[in-house]
Amino acid sequence: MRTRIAAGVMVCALASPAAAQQPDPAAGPPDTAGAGAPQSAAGRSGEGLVRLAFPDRPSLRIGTMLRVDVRLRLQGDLRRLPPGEADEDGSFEMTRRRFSFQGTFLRHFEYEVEREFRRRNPWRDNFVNFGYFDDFQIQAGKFKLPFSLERLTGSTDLDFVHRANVVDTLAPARDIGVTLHGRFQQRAIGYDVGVFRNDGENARFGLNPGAGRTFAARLAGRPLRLTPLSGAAGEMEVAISVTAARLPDGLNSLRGRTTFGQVFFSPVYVNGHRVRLGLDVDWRPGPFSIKGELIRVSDERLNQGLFDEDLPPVIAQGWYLSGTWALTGESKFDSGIEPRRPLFRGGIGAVELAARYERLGFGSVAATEPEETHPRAANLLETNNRGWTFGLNWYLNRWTKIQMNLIRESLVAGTGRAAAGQPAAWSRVLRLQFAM
Amino acid sequence: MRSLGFGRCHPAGAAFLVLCVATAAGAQTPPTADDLFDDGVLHEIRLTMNPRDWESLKANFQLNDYYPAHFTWNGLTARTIGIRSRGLGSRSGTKPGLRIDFDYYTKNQTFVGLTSVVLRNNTQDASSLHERISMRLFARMGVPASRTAHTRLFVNDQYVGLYLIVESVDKRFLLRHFKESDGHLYKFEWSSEYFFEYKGSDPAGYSPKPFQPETHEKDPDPKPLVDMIAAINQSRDTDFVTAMAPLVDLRAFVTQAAIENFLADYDGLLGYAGMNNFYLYRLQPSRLSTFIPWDKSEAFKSGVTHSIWSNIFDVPEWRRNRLMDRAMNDPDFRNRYLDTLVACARIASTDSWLEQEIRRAYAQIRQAALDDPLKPFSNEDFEQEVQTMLEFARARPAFVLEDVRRSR
Repeated sequence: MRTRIAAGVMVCALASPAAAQQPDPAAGPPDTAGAGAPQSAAGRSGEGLVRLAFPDRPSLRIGTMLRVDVRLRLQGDLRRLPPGEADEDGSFEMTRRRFSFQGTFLRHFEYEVEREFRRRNPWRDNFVNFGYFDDFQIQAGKFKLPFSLERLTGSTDLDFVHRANVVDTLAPARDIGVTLHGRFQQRAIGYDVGVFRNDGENARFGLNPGAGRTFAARLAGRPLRLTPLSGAAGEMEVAISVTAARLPDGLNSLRGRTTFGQVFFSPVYVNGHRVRLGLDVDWRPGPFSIKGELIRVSDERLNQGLFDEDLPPVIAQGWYLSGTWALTGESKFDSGIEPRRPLFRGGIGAVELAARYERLGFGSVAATEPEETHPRAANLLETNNRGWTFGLNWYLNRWTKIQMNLIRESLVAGTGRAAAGQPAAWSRVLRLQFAM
Repeated sequence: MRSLGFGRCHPAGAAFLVLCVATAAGAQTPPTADDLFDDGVLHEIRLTMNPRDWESLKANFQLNDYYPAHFTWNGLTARTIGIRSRGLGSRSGTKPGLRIDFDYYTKNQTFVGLTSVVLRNNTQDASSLHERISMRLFARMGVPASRTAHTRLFVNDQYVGLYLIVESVDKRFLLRHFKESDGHLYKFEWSSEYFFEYKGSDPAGYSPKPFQPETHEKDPDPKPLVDMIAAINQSRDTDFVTAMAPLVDLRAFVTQAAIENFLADYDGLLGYAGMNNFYLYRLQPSRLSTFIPWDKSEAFKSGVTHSIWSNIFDVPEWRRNRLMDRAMNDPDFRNRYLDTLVACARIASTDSWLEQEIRRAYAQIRQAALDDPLKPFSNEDFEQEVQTMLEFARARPAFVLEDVRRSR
């Protein structure tokens, strides 16, 4: 029943009143921080100490002391999956129902309180950021570890319905912690250094507690600005990220899953350090965008052999490369595209094509041992998940988006002549999204 | 010092020596499953596994989590097999019952032609002999039954106790006994008292619980099972046997029930809490289902004077096994039941076969049982239970024959 109500709300939103789309001349570019940095003030509905505004969303402001923006994000998916996938098939499912408050108080403090309407793990981004100095800001609470371009991108701002599998599987996502971060050199270089209680919600599943205290760092910049290749090329952002943590002894490695949840690599015994390394690139020349990431996770396996001997680390690594093209010519912001001519406002909205190729593999390096599948194998059978995603994104207006994805996935186990794979499987997903 | 060089041997002697070596080499055939289940010897099985896994298996003995290990028997090693805790009442965190799956981590791996075996911990049987002796009687009576043999079990070179190697009821077992293995095999998983009563036409009421599919897991096809149980309950008295003929091997059912009764087993087809400890196999391409005994750790426990009509006529109607109740109303099957009891008694008493089997097994396992560091019984319990079994072997045949005579 709740799902039907939510779907109803979404349908209403998709046919949202054109009247609500009053252009806001003061509105800046959409939210650029996946971690949820609050937006600047915009349209006003009145003057005085206490004001209600509606730039992109309802906003309450009390002078410069307090600002409260209300955000609502709804996403619903209709899926057609290949036989055997565990996920629900052929029915409409509300995948996100998030409600949040975000804003500023006492001028230099920013905050966000975000909740998902579900029973398990409902609290999402909940943090306070002290930003007196632009170069040295401190953020504390629960938020995403600074790792992976796509993981740091909000779920409503993605180019595809699902994040790349390598990101969804290997990047850590949210945890409780504190970071020091900032941007300098005219915001050309950014850094983020922090410590977190664990290594993110993505690493915890079932009885797997994930890693312990985690140190994370990310350095992002536009190095081509320093070369003769300025202009559009100079805006290419490159970032490197790293996390390091201690793993508890046990069946606590990461697991490999396909986009729709089929486990292709079960956790193995680990003990020692977990180190993640990431490299990502983001370039958005005009109506085009190109993104790519490479992530590698290494889990030590000290004393994990059948004879209590050390085993080579289990290695999980993968990459993706994706591109988009806005057929209607809009430029792309961090938060996607804002249509020049929204639907019912004299246009059809914005239409964008997208494509992505990705690979994610698990294994270990012990070439002298036979490849095996048990969780204490020295040489783990290498297993790879490969996938293509083709997408069409239709931005009806600044709040609503329809995404259609065609996904082709295949699994290959083993290396060389011994490699064996499953036939490639095709899936289709239609997503309806309303984000305010 | 004299030289021992071959150059000084007689040519005929050298030729003889070569012939002997060649003959000995030719006679060395690889061990088979028959060797593993040879109960003429006390075996030795060694498991090598991470010590923390063994501790985890014991700590989480109620779970069916698998752990990797190497399995060594008779100089042969199966690498990377899967082991897990098993059992219902016999589950133990001190001396865990074990299921060994040779192909769990290594696809298609077999060991002496087997894909799995059970290592029974005998934590409900102070003698450790109930299962072995029972299965021997089933086999002598021509009933398909698991082969068993005792073994000392070592984990990481530490003796962890006396176990019984039990042949799994699987496709290889079926092929050996029924000459085909494409049928539907169900293991009866006890979860509540059940007496073969009809619980409606919904197959979900019967499978996967209590009839858990062991073959065709993705296509268990329980409909014929429902039809069989409906016929057991709903066919008319006048054509009961005819109606059962294509659906249930009534002879096998009655035979198994009789042997279990002779063994004073109170936890079998006619168990004190409903049916328990059996497999049901529906042969292909027919719809005929037959029965296979399993887990006889509770045999002998009801003692010498266990009535041959126990849980048949001495309980209220609603607690009677529906199939047994109706079969006993048919003179032919009632006679078959009594005849089987008589046959058991004669086999057991002829040349004191049953007593000699117990003595032979006892002599073989005694030291290993006394040395067992994790058994939940004292050594006095062990000796006492063996004596009780010997007394049973001596007195049970006469009691059963007299009970049968009175019932004719």
